[in-house]
Amino acid sequence: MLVTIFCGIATSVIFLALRIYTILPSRSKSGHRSVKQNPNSTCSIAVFLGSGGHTSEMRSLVSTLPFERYQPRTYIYCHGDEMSLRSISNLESGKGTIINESSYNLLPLPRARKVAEPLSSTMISASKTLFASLWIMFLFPLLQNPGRPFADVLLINGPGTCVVLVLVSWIRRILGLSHTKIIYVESLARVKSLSLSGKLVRPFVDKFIVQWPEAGGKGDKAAECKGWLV
Amino acid sequence: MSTILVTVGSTLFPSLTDAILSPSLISSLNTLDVRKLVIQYGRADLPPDLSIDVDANGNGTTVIDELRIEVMRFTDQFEKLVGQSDYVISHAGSGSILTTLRRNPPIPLLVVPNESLMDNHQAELADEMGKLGYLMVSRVNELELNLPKFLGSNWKEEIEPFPQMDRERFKDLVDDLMGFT
Repeated sequence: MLVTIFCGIATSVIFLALRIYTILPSRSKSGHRSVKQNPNSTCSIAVFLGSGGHTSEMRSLVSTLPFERYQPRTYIYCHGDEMSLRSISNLESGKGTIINESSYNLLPLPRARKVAEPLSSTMISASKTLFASLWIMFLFPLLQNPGRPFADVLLINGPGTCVVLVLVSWIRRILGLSHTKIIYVESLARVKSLSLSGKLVRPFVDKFIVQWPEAGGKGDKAAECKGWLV
Repeated sequence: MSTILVTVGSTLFPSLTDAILSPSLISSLNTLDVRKLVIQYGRADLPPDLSIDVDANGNGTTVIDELRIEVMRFTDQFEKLVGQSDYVISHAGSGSILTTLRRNPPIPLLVVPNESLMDNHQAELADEMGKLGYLMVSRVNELELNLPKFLGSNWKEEIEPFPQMDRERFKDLVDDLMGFT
């Protein structure tokens, strides 16, 4: 009996790993190119604001996007992060073209890891974040409209909580459903090496961008770098 | 007559604010003709021997000799404060660095990396930008030595003009991935 269960689990793990491996963005032959879109069509976008310096860099990245194309916009932030909330209202009012109130919405998440939090309580807070994001990014949108992911594209730039968002976005990908594309932008502060979140999510994102060439490694494995983005 | 803004962002960096508020540094600022010192001290406590009354939000004001000192724990008017200053002394956070250097004209910036951080990649950013000539870098214990040079006019003339943000780059990257090119 135990052997059967064990074999079952082992087989599923192997199949899951194979499935993930075959659909890794880095293995896709067509590169990162998408189906060409009508320039007048819209694209829904989710933005993770990770607090502090992550938020201020993300704010300046998002401020360069044409809002009439990238809508509706969903801002994901951590509970109690006043600075990110201020940045959102700043971004949305700064464009001066708010046509209707519903062009953006807010999704607060419990924080996955506080600075210097011990491992044991990190596990608890990380699973709270995981369950909350499972609901708001996967289950709830699935019940509303199974054909579409919660956003066409997700922008992340760290810290740790963004790893959870990548994990949840990958469920639809593994199931072979239409899925969210992910862009990770490493912080300007990363001159010579990648952050831990960057290293973790790199194989699983569709575009991985660094802002200093040396940070992204050398040769074939070098990350995309177009210089400073913020 | 000049105004200096000292900022640590949302971080805990008492060694910077303690050094700036030490009696010897305050007296050299007085000598260097600094008349106003604005300090955003973040999560740290102010040195106890500094006689300054702060309100519930951690804001307060005092005058030592001819130097007026204003302290605040946090601010949501950072850009405005930068605009009102002649010089900025900052921790190595990219937000503070960019806000200061992107002013037109850029404001002279002295970056003091927080060496008590374990993974101190922020010092890399400061050092790299220092090498490119955009700003000056100082360790906490060298502040007193570096301040006369930082506030002097010779260095100001050597500052490299900072590139403006290229607002097409990131948009092009996203458009490319989503099929809008």
